[in-house]
Amino acid sequence: MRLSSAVLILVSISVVPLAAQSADPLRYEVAAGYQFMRDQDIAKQNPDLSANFPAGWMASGGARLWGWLDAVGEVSGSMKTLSIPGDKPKLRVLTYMAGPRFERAAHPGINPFAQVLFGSARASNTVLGIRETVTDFSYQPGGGIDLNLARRFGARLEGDYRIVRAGGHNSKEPRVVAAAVIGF
Amino acid sequence: MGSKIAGSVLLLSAILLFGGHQAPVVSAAPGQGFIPGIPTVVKTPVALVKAIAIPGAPLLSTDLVWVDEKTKRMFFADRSNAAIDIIDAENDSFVGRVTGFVGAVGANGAGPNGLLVTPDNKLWAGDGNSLTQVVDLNLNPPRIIQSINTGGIMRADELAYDPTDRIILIGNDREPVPFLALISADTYRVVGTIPFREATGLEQPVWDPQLHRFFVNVPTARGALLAVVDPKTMSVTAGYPVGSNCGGTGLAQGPFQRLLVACGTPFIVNAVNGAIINNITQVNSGDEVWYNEGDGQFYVTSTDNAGATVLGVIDAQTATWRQNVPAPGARNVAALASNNHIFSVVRAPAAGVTDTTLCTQFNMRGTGCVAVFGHK
Repeated sequence: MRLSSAVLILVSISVVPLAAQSADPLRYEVAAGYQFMRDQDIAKQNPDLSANFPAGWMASGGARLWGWLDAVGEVSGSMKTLSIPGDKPKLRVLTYMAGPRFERAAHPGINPFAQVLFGSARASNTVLGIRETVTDFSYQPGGGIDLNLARRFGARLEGDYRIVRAGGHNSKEPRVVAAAVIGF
Repeated sequence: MGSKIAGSVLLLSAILLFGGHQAPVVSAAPGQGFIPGIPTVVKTPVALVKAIAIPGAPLLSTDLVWVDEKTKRMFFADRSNAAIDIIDAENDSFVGRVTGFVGAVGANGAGPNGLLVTPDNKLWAGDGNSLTQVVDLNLNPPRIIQSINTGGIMRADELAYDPTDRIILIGNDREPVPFLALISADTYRVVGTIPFREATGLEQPVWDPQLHRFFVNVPTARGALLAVVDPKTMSVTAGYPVGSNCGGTGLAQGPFQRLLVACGTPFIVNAVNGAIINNITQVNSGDEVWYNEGDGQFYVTSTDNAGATVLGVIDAQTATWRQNVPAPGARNVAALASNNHIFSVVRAPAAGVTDTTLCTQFNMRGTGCVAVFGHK
């Protein structure tokens, strides 16, 4: 339900603002790419498991509200299979977040930005189809740069420090993102 | 147009932040990491650190041990004093006793036997005469508030709790046809029974919250049968054979749907399909077994390959043996996850027999004690 709503709205963002293309500044964007995430809880509590999630994806949409302020929505996922004796548990973390982004053109072709997103993070652990799932509040400060490769196309390099409020303590999940960006 | 798009993004934000979940929202458990089911693993060796003196009659006859994480109390079945003894598991000291059980010698079975504490701070225990006793630990002093006849003749023994349906499952293991009784924790009435015609007893049960099933270690003439019980239909939905020519006893649930099934030696079994992941051969499996969430280890009290009584430490994640700790006289085990103190009851030797138990290391002779182990 939540994912399908997000996809519908991202699609609407990408197709509605055709009229805006005539204006010079690009006011809307969608981005999709790869993310590498690390779960600090696993690193701390379980020396026998790797804390890295090398498989991951993200998709986001944004709109310029005014000047240097954007509104951003993002969904992301990270997954891995644990290498332990017996059946291999599958771990997955999904996030659904939104918030403000502050972006300024500091140099021609390079736009640095900083953002803080708020939302929920859902983690699951599946063994032979039996899934254990938790959902908690999460926030994610971060920043990066957009490299403008063409008028409508760019590349994004981003780093974030996700904090999930889980079980009365802060679980930390830093990540790095490489994504393609399309402007409208 | 711009404001419409901005509005769409804000709407997206609102949906992302507050949109409805189809599945119930479950937060991470206190003390656990965000990703569920990842065990905390402590790899430092385990050693004997203390022994707790128990007042009253020497501990000649005892049975199961339970630790309640919420109240940080350890309880054990002290048949010699016809009671359940209460230990402060944080400070490792005796704090009290609940009397009113059959004791070590009962015409229709001894008691207390198995025991557990439910989240509303009620202690349930199997007793002789086919009774399940309910103790209200909120009272001062705690006392038995219900005696429930499970419908047999001999003792009611080991038990497990389904917190979703508020059902207690308890085994009458010494009847001509052993049976499980399911008891409502709200009405204190037996709501169903399940006979096991091929069983030679009924041993430790556990509740699996993900599968929403009880698992019961059922000894048979061929080996252990891991019976899967649906509390809603009150029926056995599957049975997985474990081991051969061995007597099924203990059962504990660890991470990743792993069960330790005691049948002569410990077997690590997947609860989803009954597949055996590993058979531990460095230690035998004893009676009660326990999984400690605080360090990611299964614990057993039994003998090693040389016949010496030990506390066996088994890594639940890798399903491998880790350590045997000398523990002369130790029998049955439970642990407090928040401080990783591991408790085992040590019985006193029979009158006239030299005391060689670990209690003597703490100048307790002929009385028995509660041994406390911890990580170095």
